Amino acid sequence: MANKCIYHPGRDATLAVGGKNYCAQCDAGIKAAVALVSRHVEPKDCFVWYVRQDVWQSISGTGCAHWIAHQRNIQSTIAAEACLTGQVYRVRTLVHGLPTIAVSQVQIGDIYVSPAIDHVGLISRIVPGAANKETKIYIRHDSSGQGGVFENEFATYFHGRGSFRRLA
Amino acid sequence: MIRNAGLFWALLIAVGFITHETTTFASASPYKANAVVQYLDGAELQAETDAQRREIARALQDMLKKPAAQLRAQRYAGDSGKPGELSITDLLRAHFVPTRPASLDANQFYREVRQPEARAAIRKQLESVKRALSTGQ
Repeated sequence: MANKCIYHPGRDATLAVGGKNYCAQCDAGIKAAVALVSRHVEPKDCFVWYVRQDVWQSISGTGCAHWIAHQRNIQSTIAAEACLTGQVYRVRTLVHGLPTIAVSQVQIGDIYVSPAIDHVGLISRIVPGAANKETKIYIRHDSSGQGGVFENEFATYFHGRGSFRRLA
Repeated sequence: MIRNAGLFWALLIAVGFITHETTTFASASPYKANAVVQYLDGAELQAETDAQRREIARALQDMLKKPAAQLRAQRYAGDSGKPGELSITDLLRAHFVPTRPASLDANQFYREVRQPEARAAIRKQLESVKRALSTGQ
């Protein structure tokens, strides 16, 4: 028996992504929605959601949490919380329950969170300061402002504001 | 007499039921149907810079002040700060993630943006953007 579309059980599946099957109409809807994903969002191929009936759209928001979710494989099994491949795209879902780390304890791989919890990045480099100079913390993030994934310094680009969370 | 009393109570219960259902539908239906409320109520704000947050705040203020025709013609800066790139619905889609996957139909948006329940949702998000701005970046 042929696999059926997850959203249209009466239709045969022609596409499988992230362990889920989709029909030809969904396949076309997914492709059309992917074409409309903002140029700064990475990865693009999965940044779409199923709205209703045969309507697919690019996911709303900046995609900052989605990029980290892919880097660190942070998934959700709830359809409304995850991209096509199951990675989360909400900042609050991404950082929920993660312990806060003091700036002096920050390590590569920790998550930078903006003061308003509306933007996130990944700690990519830590450059210890020489005598009388501060340690520099570099953050890699999906930057809507700069148009892609960029690395910026905490004290300058982010004005030294925000918190750090650690994944288990 | 007894039969009339029974009829009276039956009618009273029926009227009560219909009134209750109508009231419930009337109060719940516009809330659920309003496109602005569906999109903005409880939505997560995502923004990287204060310039973006200021543009979002400006758009939300316009939604409270300007008539639909003016809103339709209004354009806002894109993510890089280039002025006049985005319509108001594009700006909202770029920075707000609704609680459930939802589209934002432009025609429905402009029709319903002035409704009281929409204005309440807009004010709530405007407060949250202002808080984000005051925390600094």
